[in-house]
Amino acid sequence: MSPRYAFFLAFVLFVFIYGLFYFSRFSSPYRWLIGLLGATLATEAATRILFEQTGTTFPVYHFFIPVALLFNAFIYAEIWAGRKSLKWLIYSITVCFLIGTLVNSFTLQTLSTFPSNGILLHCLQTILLSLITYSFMLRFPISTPLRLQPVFWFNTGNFFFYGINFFLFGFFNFYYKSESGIDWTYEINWYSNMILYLLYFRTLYLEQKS
Amino acid sequence: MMDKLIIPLFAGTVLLLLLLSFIVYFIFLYRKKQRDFELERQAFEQTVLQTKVEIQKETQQQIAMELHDNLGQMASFLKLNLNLMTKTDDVSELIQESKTVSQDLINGIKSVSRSLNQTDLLSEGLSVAIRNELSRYSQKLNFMTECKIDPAIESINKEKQLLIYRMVQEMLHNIQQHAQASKVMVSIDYLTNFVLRVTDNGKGFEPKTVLYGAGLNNLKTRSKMLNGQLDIIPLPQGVTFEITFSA
Repeated sequence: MSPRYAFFLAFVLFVFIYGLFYFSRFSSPYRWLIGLLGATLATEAATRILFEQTGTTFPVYHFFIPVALLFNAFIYAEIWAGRKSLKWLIYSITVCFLIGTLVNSFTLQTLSTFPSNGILLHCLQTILLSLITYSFMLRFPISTPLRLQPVFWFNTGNFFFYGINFFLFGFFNFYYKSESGIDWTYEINWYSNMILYLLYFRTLYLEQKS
Repeated sequence: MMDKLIIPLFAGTVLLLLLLSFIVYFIFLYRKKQRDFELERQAFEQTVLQTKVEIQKETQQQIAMELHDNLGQMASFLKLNLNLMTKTDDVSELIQESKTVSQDLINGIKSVSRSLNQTDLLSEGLSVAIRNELSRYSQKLNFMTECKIDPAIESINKEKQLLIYRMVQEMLHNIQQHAQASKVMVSIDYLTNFVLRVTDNGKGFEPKTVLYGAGLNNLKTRSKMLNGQLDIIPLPQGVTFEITFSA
């Protein structure tokens, strides 16, 4: 395990423990976010174990993607809990992407293959949900400054991270189909991951304060 | 290798810039929306404050009228009876009459005192407040009334309730001033939309030709504050004021 990867895991663990510590203070969407953080940590641990035993980590991602899709749906649906039609829209979008991911895992990219299509779908779902959230934030503004709104930081983190990942696993994978080990894509992935969890921490911090 | 790197590097940079520009643009738009929202909120608060003052003024006028027209008359009647007693031998009937009037006077004073003490007009609910107001107008102007109010309106927030109450008051005032009606109906539905209807069977008017005075303009402004709309529907006899906003 590289020091950089260890640092990343330690940071995610810190955000997760921080979330657990203040769990009772959080509203429903951010409780789901802690669940997502827990699932992420469990996935990372599983990849390490599986890598030691089989030399591959790919199967874990096939299981993680549907779980992450569902967590995303729960978080966004709870953010807009008061708007029934929007909740339906969020769940409908998620069901479509869930079906797409399962079809991909059973047919196009099976367990022994890295599910880049599934990741693309996951990115697309999150980008869509974050765009919907931006649009509803504009329709129903509140007087709290934007920098103090947990939903803004959570949404911006998602939009930014999954926007970059969509590019990495879509365009970049397509362009470098025949090659392997393009180091700087991992660099970008690491930095964008750190930004995402930093923004998740900011989200939880603001939620805890409020 | 360098050739292969240029395109993704360029595309990545463009993507990053696009993402950041989008976020910055969103912040800019949101701040603008927030300013508009604040202005609307301030205007709403000002209207609520103005409404409170108007309701207070209306209550004071009602009390002044009650003192002058009702209680004053009773006191004068008592004075007259006392004068008569000094000139008549058989005073038992006059005493009985005076007793009854004194009791009415005491009741009247209690009622005025209650009105003055009532700090929260909506303490018994909007529905009761509207029914009381309708009954007061009905006694004053001698018209028949019909009132149908959905109990769910009590769930509307107090500030909005105050605006609704004032609008009903203004419509009734309008009827008193211009309609010459013998029957007034008030109905409030509150399902998917809030719909307030006040109908009279008076002489009516054509909404397109009538000049909007302060009363009608206030109704329009208050409807807008509730994100609703005011419709004036002419009838063969009378007119219906309808205010609708989403629940």
